[in-house]
Amino acid sequence: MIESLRHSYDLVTQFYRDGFIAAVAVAIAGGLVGLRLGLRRLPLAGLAAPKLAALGLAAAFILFAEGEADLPGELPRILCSAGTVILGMAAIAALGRGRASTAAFAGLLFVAAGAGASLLAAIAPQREVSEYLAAEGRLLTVSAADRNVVVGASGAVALVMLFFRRAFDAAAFDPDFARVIGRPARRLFLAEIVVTSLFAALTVPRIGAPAVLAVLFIPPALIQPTAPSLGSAPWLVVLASILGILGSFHLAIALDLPPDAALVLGVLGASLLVAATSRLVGTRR
Amino acid sequence: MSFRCAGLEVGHRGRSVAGPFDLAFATAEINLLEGRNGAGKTTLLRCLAGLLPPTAGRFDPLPVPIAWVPQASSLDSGFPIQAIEVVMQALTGSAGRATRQAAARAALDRLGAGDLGHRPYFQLSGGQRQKVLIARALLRSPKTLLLDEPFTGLDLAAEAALWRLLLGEVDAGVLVILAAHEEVPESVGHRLRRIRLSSPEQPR
Repeated sequence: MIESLRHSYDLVTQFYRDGFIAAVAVAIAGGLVGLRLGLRRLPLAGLAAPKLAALGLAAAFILFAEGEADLPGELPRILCSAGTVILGMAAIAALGRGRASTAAFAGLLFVAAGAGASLLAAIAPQREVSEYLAAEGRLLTVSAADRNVVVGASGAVALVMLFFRRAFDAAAFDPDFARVIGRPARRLFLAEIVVTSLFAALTVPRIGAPAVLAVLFIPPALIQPTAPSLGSAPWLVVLASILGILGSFHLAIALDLPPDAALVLGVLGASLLVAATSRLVGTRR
Repeated sequence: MSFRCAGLEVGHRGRSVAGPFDLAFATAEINLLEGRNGAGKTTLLRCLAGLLPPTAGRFDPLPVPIAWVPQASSLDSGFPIQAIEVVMQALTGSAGRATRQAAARAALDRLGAGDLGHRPYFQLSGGQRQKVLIARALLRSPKTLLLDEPFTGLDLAAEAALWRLLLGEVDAGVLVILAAHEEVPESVGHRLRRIRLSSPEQPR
């Protein structure tokens, strides 16, 4: 066991360091963003957001690049991805919030955005769009430049989520009371949507939709119902996400599993472990 | 002191569902909104709280700060939140967690609910949840207290205690307006201003 862990550690430090650092950063910020979506009763939006970002990315290839060899610039890619996620999230919030149709609508967007990205990739003039969408963001092939963007974006998102946590919590729990005491509940909700969208737009093209999707959805979905308090929930989610990333890299290397599958398994296992522990501790108290 | 509504109509998205109301609220008494379901009690309270704009008419600005006690059943049961964390949401300043916790605990103690602090809010009984929401409102040190069905789920003793507490707020100069269906104890009757809202024949 120790030998196996040492082997994984050596490989990570030698070959996959950038991917590992980026994945840890995404795990921290993604867990916090996903928890916010869960507290807003929009957990399935965490599934749809990465797919919407991929759709926006594919659209950028068609809208902002002309020749076969032309690729869209960084800014158009980010704007298209973020814009698509914002529109999708706003639609989920407006059309499904508080109703049983929320989950169905988010699922519909998840499927439609995935199909739309494939369709746009097929009709785009650049032959490498499909390859670009598929290859970019593989967990183990993150470049140093991409790592820097992912770490910067994740750090900024995590800081926003932690700094405004009290205001976000109050506005999500009882928006009416929050408004009466002067908190801008609607603007806070909008800010959460924008931050979620920017996070997905900046990370999905670099680390891949499956990784972002896993940390946005799995830890919050399992831990939110078992967290003993609102104060502890973000830390439990972050703990599960980080443990999940550590576990997934070990699984990918030691068992030679595909990175995406290893990531989902790792995050799922760690989240179950943390959720079960917090429930046990909560019951004993 | 009294505060007046003149021709006040309330509703959603510009469409009136209740009113016009010509009412006066007094600070020297508990203002009790009465009326059948659909008479517009909750919508009127929400309008007075600033949560809905009036669709017609006007009302005197109520003294601030305003505190709002919603119906306990209106909140999302999926929140992993402790009772004390609910109460702490009343505090918007930059005070540290220990300070906010102490203030929240004092507010819960005032309602006789100090032992509920670290229990999950949604595992409490309806009456206990109601006490927590009232503690949260009182922590604002309000000048206006708006309560929507605050007696729901309370047992008789807790109901009597809440009436006493509301009378105490009135004595302290707080404008108290509430909607309720419950019978009013005789001891409170002389301090009560009953405001009957007539329900419209048909929704407009």
